[in-house]
Amino acid sequence: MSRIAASILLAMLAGCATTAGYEALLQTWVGDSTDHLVSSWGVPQQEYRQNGGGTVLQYSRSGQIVLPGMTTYQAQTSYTNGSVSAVGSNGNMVNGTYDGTTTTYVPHTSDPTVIATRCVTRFTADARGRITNWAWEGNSCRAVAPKKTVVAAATPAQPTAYKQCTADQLRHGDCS
Amino acid sequence: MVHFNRYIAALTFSTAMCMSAFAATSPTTQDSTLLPKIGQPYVIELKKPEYGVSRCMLTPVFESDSMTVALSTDHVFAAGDVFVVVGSEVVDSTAKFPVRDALMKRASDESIQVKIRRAGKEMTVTAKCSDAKPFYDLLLEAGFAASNNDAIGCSDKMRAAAGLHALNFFPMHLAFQCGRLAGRIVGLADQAKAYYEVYEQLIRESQWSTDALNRNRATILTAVEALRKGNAAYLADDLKQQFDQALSAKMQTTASLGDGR
Repeated sequence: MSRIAASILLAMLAGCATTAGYEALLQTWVGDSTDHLVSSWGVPQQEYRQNGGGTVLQYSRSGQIVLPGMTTYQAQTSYTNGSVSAVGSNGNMVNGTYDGTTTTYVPHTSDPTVIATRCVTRFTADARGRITNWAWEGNSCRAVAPKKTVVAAATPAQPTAYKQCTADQLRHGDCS
Repeated sequence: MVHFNRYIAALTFSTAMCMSAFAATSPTTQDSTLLPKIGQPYVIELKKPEYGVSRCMLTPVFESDSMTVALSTDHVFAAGDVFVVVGSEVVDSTAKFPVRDALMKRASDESIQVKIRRAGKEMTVTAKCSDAKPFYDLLLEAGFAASNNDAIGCSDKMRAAAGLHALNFFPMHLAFQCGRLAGRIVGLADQAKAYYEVYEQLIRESQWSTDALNRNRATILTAVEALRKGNAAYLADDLKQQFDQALSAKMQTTASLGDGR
Protein backbone atom coordinates (compact mmCIF):
# COMPACT_ATOMS: atom_id res chain seq x y z
CA MET A 1 0.00 0.00 0.00
CA SER A 2 1.39 3.35 -0.92
CA ARG A 3 2.06 5.92 1.74
CA ILE A 4 -0.65 8.14 0.36
CA ALA A 5 -3.22 5.38 0.58
CA ALA A 6 -2.12 4.56 4.11
CA SER A 7 -2.38 8.21 5.09
CA ILE A 8 -5.89 8.45 3.67
CA LEU A 9 -6.91 5.29 5.52
CA LEU A 10 -5.52 6.60 8.79
CA ALA A 11 -7.28 9.89 8.29
CA MET A 12 -10.57 8.08 7.67
CA LEU A 13 -10.15 5.94 10.73
CA ALA A 14 -9.28 8.92 12.86
CA GLY A 15 -12.41 10.64 11.58
CA CYS A 16 -14.63 7.83 12.80
CA ALA A 17 -13.34 7.27 16.32
CA THR A 18 -13.70 10.40 18.41
CA THR A 19 -13.84 11.40 22.03
CA ALA A 20 -17.42 12.52 21.45
CA GLY A 21 -18.16 9.05 20.14
CA TYR A 22 -16.57 7.58 23.25
CA GLU A 23 -18.70 9.75 25.48
CA ALA A 24 -21.80 8.75 23.56
CA LEU A 25 -20.85 5.13 24.07
CA LEU A 26 -20.35 5.63 27.81
CA GLN A 27 -23.69 7.41 28.05
CA THR A 28 -25.49 4.30 26.79
CA TRP A 29 -24.47 2.61 30.04
CA VAL A 30 -26.16 5.11 32.32
CA GLY A 31 -29.11 3.38 33.92
CA ASP A 32 -27.78 -0.06 33.15
CA SER A 33 -26.44 -2.49 35.74
CA THR A 34 -22.83 -3.02 36.69
CA ASP A 35 -23.41 -6.75 36.18
CA HIS A 36 -24.24 -6.07 32.59
CA LEU A 37 -21.23 -3.77 32.26
CA VAL A 38 -18.88 -6.42 33.63
CA SER A 39 -20.39 -8.99 31.28
CA SER A 40 -19.64 -6.71 28.39
CA TRP A 41 -16.39 -4.95 29.36
CA GLY A 42 -14.91 -7.61 31.59
CA VAL A 43 -13.77 -7.36 35.19
CA PRO A 44 -12.58 -3.83 36.00
CA GLN A 45 -8.95 -3.27 36.91
CA GLN A 46 -9.96 -1.39 40.04
CA GLU A 47 -13.07 -1.15 42.12
CA TYR A 48 -13.76 1.31 44.88
CA ARG A 49 -16.62 1.08 47.32
CA GLN A 50 -18.07 4.39 48.38
CA ASN A 51 -19.38 5.10 51.86
CA GLY A 52 -22.93 5.39 50.65
CA GLY A 53 -22.89 1.91 49.16
CA GLY A 54 -22.10 2.94 45.62
CA THR A 55 -19.12 1.73 43.65
CA VAL A 56 -16.66 3.14 41.18
CA LEU A 57 -15.42 0.71 38.54
CA GLN A 58 -12.24 1.71 36.79
CA TYR A 59 -11.13 0.35 33.46
CA SER A 60 -7.68 1.22 32.18
CA ARG A 61 -5.99 0.46 28.97
CA SER A 62 -2.63 1.63 27.78
CA GLY A 63 -0.37 0.99 24.88
CA GLN A 64 1.91 2.73 22.52
CA ILE A 65 1.99 3.84 18.97
CA VAL A 66 5.36 3.63 17.28
CA LEU A 67 5.85 6.01 14.42
CA PRO A 68 8.79 4.78 12.36
CA GLY A 69 11.70 7.18 11.83
CA MET A 70 11.77 9.23 8.69
CA THR A 71 14.35 8.35 6.04
CA THR A 72 16.06 11.18 4.22
CA TYR A 73 18.75 10.96 1.60
CA GLN A 74 21.79 13.18 1.86
CA ALA A 75 24.06 13.82 -1.10
CA GLN A 76 27.73 13.02 -0.61
CA THR A 77 30.00 14.38 -3.30
CA SER A 78 33.61 13.32 -3.63
CA TYR A 79 36.08 15.23 -5.65
CA THR A 80 38.85 13.46 -7.54
CA ASN A 81 41.83 14.91 -9.37
CA GLY A 82 45.38 13.89 -10.26
CA SER A 83 47.78 13.39 -13.12
CA VAL A 84 48.55 10.53 -15.40
CA SER A 85 51.57 9.74 -17.61
CA ALA A 86 51.70 7.54 -20.64
CA VAL A 87 54.05 6.69 -23.49
CA GLY A 88 52.72 7.92 -26.75
CA SER A 89 52.91 6.14 -30.08
CA ASN A 90 55.99 8.15 -30.99
CA GLY A 91 57.82 6.97 -27.89
CA ASN A 92 57.58 10.24 -26.01
CA MET A 93 56.07 10.58 -22.57
CA VAL A 94 52.69 12.24 -22.49
CA ASN A 95 51.52 13.87 -19.22
CA GLY A 96 48.00 14.92 -18.43
CA THR A 97 45.73 15.90 -15.51
CA TYR A 98 42.14 15.02 -14.62
CA ASP A 99 39.60 16.66 -12.40
CA GLY A 100 36.01 15.43 -11.56
CA THR A 101 33.29 14.82 -8.95
CA THR A 102 31.26 11.79 -7.85
CA THR A 103 27.94 12.20 -6.02
CA THR A 104 26.23 9.44 -4.07
CA TYR A 105 23.01 9.67 -1.95
CA VAL A 106 23.26 8.17 1.52
CA PRO A 107 20.06 7.31 3.45
CA HIS A 108 19.70 8.62 7.00
CA THR A 109 16.81 7.33 9.17
CA SER A 110 15.84 9.21 12.30
CA ASP A 111 14.94 7.41 15.54
CA PRO A 112 11.34 6.13 15.77
CA THR A 113 8.85 8.20 17.76
CA VAL A 114 7.00 6.34 20.52
CA ILE A 115 3.71 7.79 21.71
CA ALA A 116 2.28 6.32 24.91
CA THR A 117 -1.51 5.91 24.81
CA ARG A 118 -3.73 5.72 27.84
CA CYS A 119 -7.43 5.66 28.53
CA VAL A 120 -8.88 5.42 32.01
CA THR A 121 -12.65 5.14 32.30
CA ARG A 122 -14.56 5.26 35.56
CA PHE A 123 -18.16 4.27 35.98
CA THR A 124 -20.00 5.29 39.11
CA ALA A 125 -22.87 3.10 40.25
CA ASP A 126 -25.37 3.55 43.05
CA ALA A 127 -25.97 1.12 45.89
CA ARG A 128 -28.32 -0.96 43.72
CA GLY A 129 -25.64 -1.42 41.08
CA ARG A 130 -27.18 1.06 38.66
CA ILE A 131 -24.66 3.06 36.65
CA THR A 132 -25.26 6.73 37.28
CA ASN A 133 -22.21 8.51 35.91
CA TRP A 134 -18.97 8.13 34.04
CA ALA A 135 -15.69 9.93 33.50
CA TRP A 136 -12.65 9.37 31.36
CA GLU A 137 -9.12 10.66 31.03
CA GLY A 138 -6.28 9.94 28.68
CA ASN A 139 -5.34 10.45 25.09
CA SER A 140 -6.84 7.37 23.51
CA CYS A 141 -10.42 7.41 24.75
CA ARG A 142 -12.01 7.37 21.36
CA ALA A 143 -14.78 5.34 19.82
CA VAL A 144 -17.18 5.36 16.98
CA ALA A 145 -20.40 6.92 18.17
CA PRO A 146 -23.14 4.32 18.67
CA LYS A 147 -26.07 4.47 16.34
CA LYS A 148 -28.77 6.66 17.75
CA THR A 149 -31.65 5.74 15.53
CA VAL A 150 -32.69 2.61 17.30
CA VAL A 151 -34.59 3.71 20.35
CA ALA A 152 -36.87 6.61 20.04
CA ALA A 153 -36.35 9.25 22.63
CA ALA A 154 -38.94 9.04 25.33
CA THR A 155 -41.32 11.76 24.36
CA PRO A 156 -44.43 11.60 26.47
CA ALA A 157 -47.32 11.11 24.14
CA GLN A 158 -49.95 13.79 24.23
CA PRO A 159 -53.26 12.18 25.04
CA THR A 160 -56.32 13.43 23.38
CA ALA A 161 -58.88 14.76 25.84
CA TYR A 162 -61.07 11.88 26.85
CA LYS A 163 -63.46 10.92 29.57
CA GLN A 164 -61.76 8.62 32.02
CA CYS A 165 -63.98 5.70 32.86
CA THR A 166 -63.83 2.77 35.19
CA ALA A 167 -63.77 -0.76 33.90
CA ASP A 168 -67.38 -1.28 34.97
CA GLN A 169 -68.51 1.85 33.15
CA LEU A 170 -66.74 0.63 30.05
CA ARG A 171 -68.35 -2.80 30.31
CA HIS A 172 -71.80 -1.37 30.86
CA GLY A 173 -71.52 1.12 28.03
CA ASP A 174 -71.70 4.07 30.43
CA CYS A 175 -68.71 5.82 28.99
CA SER A 176 -69.87 7.84 26.08
CA MET B 1 -53.50 -15.41 35.44
CA VAL B 2 -54.00 -13.98 32.01
CA HIS B 3 -56.04 -15.98 29.56
CA PHE B 4 -56.68 -13.71 26.67
CA ASN B 5 -53.35 -14.37 24.97
CA ARG B 6 -54.71 -15.85 21.81
CA TYR B 7 -57.33 -13.21 21.18
CA ILE B 8 -54.95 -10.35 21.79
CA ALA B 9 -52.35 -12.12 19.71
CA ALA B 10 -54.61 -12.29 16.74
CA LEU B 11 -55.64 -8.68 17.02
CA THR B 12 -52.36 -7.08 17.77
CA PHE B 13 -49.64 -9.01 16.06
CA SER B 14 -50.22 -7.68 12.60
CA THR B 15 -50.13 -4.08 13.75
CA ALA B 16 -48.54 -3.69 17.11
CA MET B 17 -45.49 -5.78 16.48
CA CYS B 18 -44.60 -3.88 13.35
CA MET B 19 -45.53 -0.50 14.70
CA SER B 20 -43.99 -0.83 18.09
CA ALA B 21 -40.67 -2.35 17.25
CA PHE B 22 -37.85 -1.29 19.49
CA ALA B 23 -36.26 0.24 16.44
CA ALA B 24 -38.82 2.91 15.90
CA THR B 25 -37.20 5.38 13.55
CA SER B 26 -39.86 8.02 13.48
CA PRO B 27 -41.23 8.35 16.98
CA THR B 28 -43.30 11.43 16.48
CA THR B 29 -45.33 10.00 13.66
CA GLN B 30 -45.41 6.37 14.71
CA ASP B 31 -45.95 6.92 18.40
CA SER B 32 -49.04 9.02 17.95
CA THR B 33 -50.85 6.03 16.51
CA LEU B 34 -48.98 3.28 18.30
CA LEU B 35 -50.75 3.21 21.65
CA PRO B 36 -54.29 3.36 20.26
CA LYS B 37 -53.50 0.45 17.99
CA ILE B 38 -52.18 -1.61 20.87
CA GLY B 39 -54.77 -0.49 23.38
CA GLN B 40 -57.92 -0.92 21.35
CA PRO B 41 -57.81 -4.74 21.25
CA TYR B 42 -57.52 -4.80 25.04
CA VAL B 43 -60.66 -2.75 25.38
CA ILE B 44 -62.61 -4.95 22.97
CA GLU B 45 -61.58 -8.15 24.70
CA LEU B 46 -61.65 -7.09 28.33
CA LYS B 47 -65.07 -5.46 28.09
CA LYS B 48 -66.51 -8.95 27.78
CA PRO B 49 -68.56 -9.89 30.85
CA GLU B 50 -66.42 -12.87 31.83
CA TYR B 51 -63.63 -10.48 32.82
CA GLY B 52 -65.95 -8.41 34.97
CA VAL B 53 -66.86 -11.04 37.54
CA SER B 54 -65.16 -11.84 40.78
CA ARG B 55 -63.68 -15.31 40.60
CA CYS B 56 -60.63 -17.30 41.56
CA MET B 57 -57.29 -16.37 40.04
CA LEU B 58 -54.13 -18.31 40.80
CA THR B 59 -50.63 -16.90 40.82
CA PRO B 60 -48.90 -18.44 37.79
CA VAL B 61 -48.52 -16.90 34.38
CA PHE B 62 -49.43 -19.57 31.89
CA GLU B 63 -47.84 -20.48 28.61
CA SER B 64 -49.89 -19.96 25.49
CA ASP B 65 -51.51 -23.38 25.90
CA SER B 66 -53.19 -21.83 28.97
CA MET B 67 -52.41 -24.82 31.16
CA THR B 68 -48.61 -24.97 31.51
CA VAL B 69 -46.96 -22.70 34.04
CA ALA B 70 -44.57 -20.25 32.35
CA LEU B 71 -43.70 -18.26 35.41
CA SER B 72 -44.49 -18.75 39.07
CA THR B 73 -44.22 -16.10 41.72
CA ASP B 74 -44.77 -18.40 44.66
CA HIS B 75 -43.47 -21.68 46.00
CA VAL B 76 -46.62 -23.63 45.17
CA PHE B 77 -46.11 -23.80 41.43
CA ALA B 78 -43.02 -23.94 39.29
CA ALA B 79 -42.32 -23.20 35.66
CA GLY B 80 -43.16 -26.25 33.55
CA ASP B 81 -45.95 -27.53 35.80
CA VAL B 82 -48.93 -28.71 33.77
CA PHE B 83 -52.39 -28.35 35.32
CA VAL B 84 -54.23 -31.67 35.24
CA VAL B 85 -57.14 -31.27 37.65
CA VAL B 86 -58.49 -28.10 39.27
CA GLY B 87 -60.60 -28.93 42.30
CA SER B 88 -62.54 -31.90 41.04
CA GLU B 89 -62.60 -30.79 37.42
CA VAL B 90 -60.27 -32.42 34.94
CA VAL B 91 -58.57 -29.82 32.80
CA ASP B 92 -59.77 -30.16 29.22
CA SER B 93 -56.69 -29.67 27.10
CA THR B 94 -58.86 -29.21 24.00
CA ALA B 95 -60.66 -26.21 25.48
CA LYS B 96 -59.60 -22.69 24.55
CA PHE B 97 -59.02 -21.60 28.15
CA PRO B 98 -58.94 -24.88 30.09
CA VAL B 99 -57.76 -23.61 33.47
CA ARG B 100 -59.79 -20.43 33.37
CA ASP B 101 -62.94 -22.38 32.64
CA ALA B 102 -62.38 -24.40 35.79
CA LEU B 103 -61.49 -21.36 37.89
CA MET B 104 -64.58 -19.46 36.75
CA LYS B 105 -66.61 -21.72 39.02
CA ARG B 106 -64.49 -20.94 42.07
CA ALA B 107 -64.84 -18.04 44.45
CA SER B 108 -62.07 -15.50 44.84
CA ASP B 109 -61.43 -16.36 48.49
CA GLU B 110 -61.17 -20.12 48.16
CA SER B 111 -58.21 -22.39 48.56
CA ILE B 112 -58.31 -25.15 45.99
CA GLN B 113 -56.53 -28.38 45.33
CA VAL B 114 -54.76 -28.56 42.01
CA LYS B 115 -53.29 -31.70 40.56
CA ILE B 116 -50.26 -30.87 38.46
CA ARG B 117 -47.76 -32.84 36.41
CA ARG B 118 -44.23 -31.86 37.31
CA ALA B 119 -41.23 -33.54 35.68
CA GLY B 120 -43.44 -36.40 34.56
CA LYS B 121 -44.95 -37.04 38.01
CA GLU B 122 -48.38 -36.01 39.17
CA MET B 123 -48.83 -34.32 42.52
CA THR B 124 -51.51 -32.32 44.27
CA VAL B 125 -50.90 -28.89 45.70
CA THR B 126 -53.12 -26.47 47.54
CA ALA B 127 -53.33 -22.99 46.08
CA LYS B 128 -54.95 -19.87 47.41
CA CYS B 129 -57.15 -17.86 45.09
CA SER B 130 -57.17 -14.12 44.64
CA ASP B 131 -59.81 -12.05 42.88
CA ALA B 132 -59.39 -11.82 39.12
CA LYS B 133 -61.69 -8.82 38.70
CA PRO B 134 -59.49 -6.02 40.05
CA PHE B 135 -56.65 -7.25 37.88
CA TYR B 136 -58.65 -7.39 34.68
CA ASP B 137 -60.30 -4.08 35.55
CA LEU B 138 -56.90 -2.43 35.64
CA LEU B 139 -55.88 -4.04 32.36
CA LEU B 140 -59.08 -2.80 30.75
CA GLU B 141 -58.55 0.71 32.09
CA ALA B 142 -54.93 0.62 30.92
CA GLY B 143 -56.04 -0.47 27.47
CA PHE B 144 -58.64 2.28 27.43
CA ALA B 145 -56.03 4.88 28.37
CA ALA B 146 -53.73 3.54 25.65
CA SER B 147 -56.51 3.65 23.10
CA ASN B 148 -56.80 7.35 23.94
CA ASN B 149 -53.05 7.81 23.60
CA ASP B 150 -52.70 8.42 27.33
CA ALA B 151 -49.34 6.83 28.00
CA ILE B 152 -49.10 8.09 31.56
CA GLY B 153 -52.58 6.86 32.51
CA CYS B 154 -51.86 3.53 30.85
CA SER B 155 -48.53 3.21 32.58
CA ASP B 156 -50.10 3.95 35.99
CA LYS B 157 -52.74 1.27 35.48
CA MET B 158 -50.25 -1.29 34.24
CA ARG B 159 -48.04 -0.72 37.27
CA ALA B 160 -51.01 -1.24 39.54
CA ALA B 161 -52.02 -4.38 37.63
CA ALA B 162 -48.50 -5.76 37.87
CA GLY B 163 -48.77 -5.31 41.62
CA LEU B 164 -51.73 -7.68 41.69
CA HIS B 165 -50.46 -10.36 39.35
CA ALA B 166 -47.41 -11.07 37.21
CA LEU B 167 -47.94 -9.97 33.63
CA ASN B 168 -47.67 -12.16 30.61
CA PHE B 169 -46.26 -11.20 27.23
CA PHE B 170 -49.02 -9.00 25.84
CA PRO B 171 -49.64 -6.91 28.95
CA MET B 172 -45.86 -6.66 29.37
CA HIS B 173 -45.66 -5.38 25.83
CA LEU B 174 -48.33 -2.78 26.50
CA ALA B 175 -46.65 -1.81 29.78
CA PHE B 176 -43.33 -1.40 27.98
CA GLN B 177 -44.74 0.85 25.29
CA CYS B 178 -46.78 2.93 27.74
CA GLY B 179 -43.81 3.23 30.09
CA ARG B 180 -41.51 4.24 27.26
CA LEU B 181 -43.89 6.83 25.87
CA ALA B 182 -44.72 8.13 29.32
CA GLY B 183 -41.03 8.84 29.78
CA ARG B 184 -40.72 6.30 32.57
CA ILE B 185 -38.34 3.96 30.81
CA VAL B 186 -35.59 6.26 29.74
CA GLY B 187 -32.15 5.71 28.31
CA LEU B 188 -31.04 3.26 25.72
CA ALA B 189 -29.88 0.72 28.23
CA ASP B 190 -33.11 0.69 30.25
CA GLN B 191 -35.26 0.53 27.16
CA ALA B 192 -33.21 -2.31 25.74
CA LYS B 193 -33.45 -4.24 28.98
CA ALA B 194 -37.20 -3.75 29.30
CA TYR B 195 -37.68 -4.70 25.67
CA TYR B 196 -35.53 -7.78 26.17
CA GLU B 197 -37.61 -8.86 29.17
CA VAL B 198 -40.81 -8.68 27.12
CA TYR B 199 -39.47 -11.07 24.51
CA GLU B 200 -37.82 -13.28 27.08
CA GLN B 201 -41.33 -13.73 28.45
CA LEU B 202 -42.62 -14.63 24.99
CA ILE B 203 -40.06 -17.44 24.81
CA ARG B 204 -41.16 -18.69 28.24
CA GLU B 205 -44.76 -18.76 27.12
CA SER B 206 -43.97 -20.69 23.97
CA GLN B 207 -41.89 -23.44 25.50
CA TRP B 208 -44.73 -25.93 25.74
CA SER B 209 -44.37 -27.00 22.11
CA THR B 210 -42.04 -26.75 19.16
CA ASP B 211 -44.92 -25.40 17.10
CA ALA B 212 -45.49 -22.55 19.52
CA LEU B 213 -41.80 -21.71 19.47
CA ASN B 214 -41.65 -21.86 15.70
CA ARG B 215 -44.73 -19.67 15.38
CA ASN B 216 -42.92 -16.99 17.34
CA ARG B 217 -39.56 -17.48 15.66
CA ALA B 218 -39.90 -14.47 13.34
CA THR B 219 -41.05 -12.25 16.20
CA ILE B 220 -38.16 -13.30 18.41
CA LEU B 221 -35.62 -12.85 15.63
CA THR B 222 -37.02 -9.40 14.89
CA ALA B 223 -36.52 -8.53 18.54
CA VAL B 224 -33.00 -9.96 18.45
CA GLU B 225 -32.20 -7.80 15.44
CA ALA B 226 -33.71 -4.72 17.08
CA LEU B 227 -31.58 -5.25 20.17
CA ARG B 228 -28.49 -5.72 18.05
CA LYS B 229 -29.15 -2.49 16.19
CA GLY B 230 -29.77 -0.82 19.51
CA ASN B 231 -26.20 -1.46 20.69
CA ALA B 232 -27.45 -4.18 22.99
CA ALA B 233 -25.65 -7.08 21.35
CA TYR B 234 -25.23 -8.80 24.68
CA LEU B 235 -28.99 -8.93 25.21
CA ALA B 236 -29.56 -9.83 21.56
CA ASP B 237 -27.22 -12.78 21.80
CA ASP B 238 -28.77 -13.88 25.06
CA LEU B 239 -32.30 -13.76 23.68
CA LYS B 240 -31.27 -15.72 20.59
CA GLN B 241 -29.52 -18.26 22.76
CA GLN B 242 -32.58 -18.66 24.98
CA PHE B 243 -34.76 -19.26 21.95
CA ASP B 244 -32.34 -21.81 20.45
CA GLN B 245 -32.02 -23.61 23.76
CA ALA B 246 -35.78 -23.71 24.31
CA LEU B 247 -36.32 -25.09 20.83
CA SER B 248 -33.54 -27.62 21.17
CA ALA B 249 -34.79 -28.78 24.57
CA LYS B 250 -38.35 -29.14 23.31
CA MET B 251 -37.27 -31.05 20.23
CA GLN B 252 -35.28 -33.47 22.37
CA THR B 253 -38.22 -33.96 24.71
CA THR B 254 -40.59 -34.43 21.82
CA ALA B 255 -38.30 -36.99 20.22
CA SER B 256 -37.99 -38.96 23.44
CA LEU B 257 -41.71 -38.85 24.25
CA GLY B 258 -42.80 -39.37 20.69
CA ASP B 259 -45.51 -36.76 20.84
CA GLY B 260 -45.99 -33.03 20.50
CA ARG B 261 -45.82 -32.01 24.16
